[in-house]
Amino acid sequence: MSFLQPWVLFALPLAFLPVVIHLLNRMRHRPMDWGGMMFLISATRESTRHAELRQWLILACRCLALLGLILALSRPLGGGWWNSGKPDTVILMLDRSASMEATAENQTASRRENALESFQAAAAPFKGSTRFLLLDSTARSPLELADLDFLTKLEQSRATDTAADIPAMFRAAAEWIRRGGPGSVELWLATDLQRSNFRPESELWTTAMTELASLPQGVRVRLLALDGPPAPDRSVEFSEVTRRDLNGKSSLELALKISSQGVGSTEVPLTFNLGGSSRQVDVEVTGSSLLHRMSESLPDQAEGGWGFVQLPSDGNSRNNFSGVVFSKSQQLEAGVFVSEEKDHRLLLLAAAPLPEKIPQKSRILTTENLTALEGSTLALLIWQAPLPKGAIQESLTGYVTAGGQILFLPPGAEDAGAVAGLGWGEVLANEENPASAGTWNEVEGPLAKTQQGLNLPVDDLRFLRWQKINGEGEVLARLGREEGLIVRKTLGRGAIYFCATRPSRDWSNLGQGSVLVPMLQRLMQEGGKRLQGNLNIRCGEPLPGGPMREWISLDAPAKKNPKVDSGIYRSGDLLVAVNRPTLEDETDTLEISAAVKAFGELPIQVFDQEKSGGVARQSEWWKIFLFFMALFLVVEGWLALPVRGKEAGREERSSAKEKEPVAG
Amino acid sequence: MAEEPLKSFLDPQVAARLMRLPLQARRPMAGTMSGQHKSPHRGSSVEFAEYRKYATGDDIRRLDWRVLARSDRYYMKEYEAETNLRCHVILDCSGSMKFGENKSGHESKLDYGRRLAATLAYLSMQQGDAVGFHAVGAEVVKEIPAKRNPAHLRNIFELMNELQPQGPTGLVAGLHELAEKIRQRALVIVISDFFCPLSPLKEALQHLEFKKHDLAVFQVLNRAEIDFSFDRPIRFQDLESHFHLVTEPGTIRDRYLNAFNEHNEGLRHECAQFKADYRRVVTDESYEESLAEFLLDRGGGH
Repeated sequence: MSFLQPWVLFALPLAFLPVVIHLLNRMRHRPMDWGGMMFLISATRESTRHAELRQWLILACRCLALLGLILALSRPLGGGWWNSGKPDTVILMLDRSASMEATAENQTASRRENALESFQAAAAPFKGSTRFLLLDSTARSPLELADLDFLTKLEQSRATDTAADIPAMFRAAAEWIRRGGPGSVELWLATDLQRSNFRPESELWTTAMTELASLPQGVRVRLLALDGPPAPDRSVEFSEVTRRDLNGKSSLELALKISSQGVGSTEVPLTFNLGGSSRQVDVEVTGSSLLHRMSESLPDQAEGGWGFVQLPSDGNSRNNFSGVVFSKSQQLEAGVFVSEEKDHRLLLLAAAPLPEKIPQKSRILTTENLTALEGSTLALLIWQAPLPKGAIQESLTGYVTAGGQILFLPPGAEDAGAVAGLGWGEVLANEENPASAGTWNEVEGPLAKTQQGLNLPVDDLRFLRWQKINGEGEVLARLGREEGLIVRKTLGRGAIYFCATRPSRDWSNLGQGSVLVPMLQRLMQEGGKRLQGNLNIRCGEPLPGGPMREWISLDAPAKKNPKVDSGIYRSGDLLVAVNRPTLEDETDTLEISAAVKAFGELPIQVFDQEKSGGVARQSEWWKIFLFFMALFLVVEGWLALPVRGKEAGREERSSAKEKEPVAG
Repeated sequence: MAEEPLKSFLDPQVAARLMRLPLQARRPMAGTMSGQHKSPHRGSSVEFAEYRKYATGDDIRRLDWRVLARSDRYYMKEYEAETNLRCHVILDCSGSMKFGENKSGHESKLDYGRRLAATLAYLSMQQGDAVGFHAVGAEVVKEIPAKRNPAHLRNIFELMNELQPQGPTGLVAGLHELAEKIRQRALVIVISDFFCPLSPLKEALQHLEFKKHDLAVFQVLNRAEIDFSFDRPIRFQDLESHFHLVTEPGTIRDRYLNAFNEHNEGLRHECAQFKADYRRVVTDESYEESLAEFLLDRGGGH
């Protein structure tokens, strides 16, 4: 037998409290001279037969009642005859990601709606005896369900534009079970097995499964995989939005990514809305993915604005919208802090290559400039010097946390310092056989592919010297197979980057610019977001301005929740475009067998299949112990009752006899 | 000094009220002096008893001349004799009679018994009867033979004053001893709690009855002994020995009361069997009322 609250068992000695009280009572007796000892002896002799037995039974009942109470409080678990075969608690884990709104082929209901129906049908036999909770992918906090009939009407079960983190949901469930401590638990997961949501490679799976497996209740999982073939569908999103301010004219360069699934080549009528003015754009969509570029000129005086694009209704209504918010023209600034003079010109030029055409500038920073970076207009700080310490390091950390970007280049000598856990190691060199880049992240980061899908010429880079990067961070590019070339560490809204080489000729050919310039430009664009009041965020990310703000939807008259619904929202001066996460448009799903593997040793049953893996379901036994406690208390009360009937009868007889005259 | 015990045991006002009720014997008494009680012999009182035929040697002064004149037969006219009685008061002064005595002034069963004994002795003496007193502990501790001298009462009171309750009960042996010792018919009044086995006590009572004594029994009890309403564990120390018993009164109350009441019922039954006058008195009740009832029951109201 295992216990949900085993620490209560420390109170087990309290079960002997009645014995201790009895002994203490006996110890605090008072002496009394007594004449009729013969009656006492007689009574005591008789009590050994009946009364003493009764007293022992009363004492035993009290001890057992306390024992029952303690055991009930410790919430024991066990199987056997008591187990009704029904779990004590079922947690319905609902994937509410945007991809769950896809309808199955030849159906009108979405996967999410089908999941809710299946939940209701499967839960019907357990009604009345099982507690149901809903744990949705958005809130990840179990919600008690009083009536399953209202499951489909709940705010927590409606469609969203968010992504789902399935392992995090299991982690949340494990945490709740551990803290809430229900009896036997079943976790019913409904998901479309989208790889980006399921994240089978995530370490969270191991953590969550280990935690669930270690629970004494014996947790089971039932998987409802909604991975059937979807109805024909198209999705749209702004893959790139750039405001060009060239020669005093402003324009908006837009790149629309339209993905198709199960739809042939056809002309799609897009609804394009810029600042409330709507027009239709017909786009010829061929293949599964299309990048459609548009250029919209903005009025000269345009400060900023918003727009969105919408596809006609199809298989998934949640991926037909993409919104954008753009800010007013702003000059981005890069600061360079170097210990050696020879590299600074190169870096200044790479950060602002065309200052007369593009509103960008770069300047050399001194130590005095470094103490108040957070309030500065810097979009990027390039640091080629020994790592900062003390107040300067604190200032830099604050700057990054607020959204700033810092690129650290090697100081050229071993440095004992560290920033956010990253530091410099030894300087290595191989001038005869220069090193080259091994792998790098082409999807995102400073070395990602261009908007046209072209790779940066990272392969052409050669490294004569490089300095080892110590510490743990996200490796974006490697030298050969092992060593990090570019390592990123995110701090708050910003990030720091460590690049293992310098752009100077005695270190590498990075100074040629084909990689360095786009890399720095991207970092500046990223850092420039810190200075913008308008934001483009993804559903599920925290909204700017704090949680108490009230947001008004601009793209649709209906009231929407910016936390879970995509759209354009305004709150005071703040303008936000909320879009579904990009990964929600991916069609890559897992096979059920691959998904089941993620659950490790945890017993799992796929809906509509036979149970796989046996586990003795453990039910809570506290009710039994509570019942026995009550039973013992009743017996104790009955035993402790004085035999009033007999006494009364005896007293009546004796008084009647006293009144009779005694013949003399 | 001599008046102190008299005052402590005898309330003159109570005695004065009770004097209106004479203490009468239920059986004929064989006294040496004339008195208020019936005698087994024919005497010279005014109350006619019977006729009997003349026998040689009879006093011819008691011959009924009228019968002789009418029927020419010799009949003797006999009258009831009235004599005094010997009242023997036996007081149990074993250890158990000490119960009830405490520092707050409550009197023990022995004190209560002394009041009863002193009042009965006084009443008896006042109506011209001889009074004897016997204190019984483990054995007959002290005794004063029956005399009708009023000064004798003072001796009895002084003896009562000296009594200390102690030792085991020797009541049965004491009654047997006194049954043999008291030769003439007498009124024997036993004052005790009778905390002793019933079977030998029955034999002792039978012994007294066999000797044709008129027997009266006062069982003196304390309210705590009757109710036994204690709620905490108590270490009961026997007043007659070194034995002690620690127990939870609540657990044995039923058994105790059972045994206690059974014993008392047995005692009452035995008394009835041997025509003894049984009376249970409780120390928190008025002894005057008990004595008044006792005297009335014995025919004092006629």
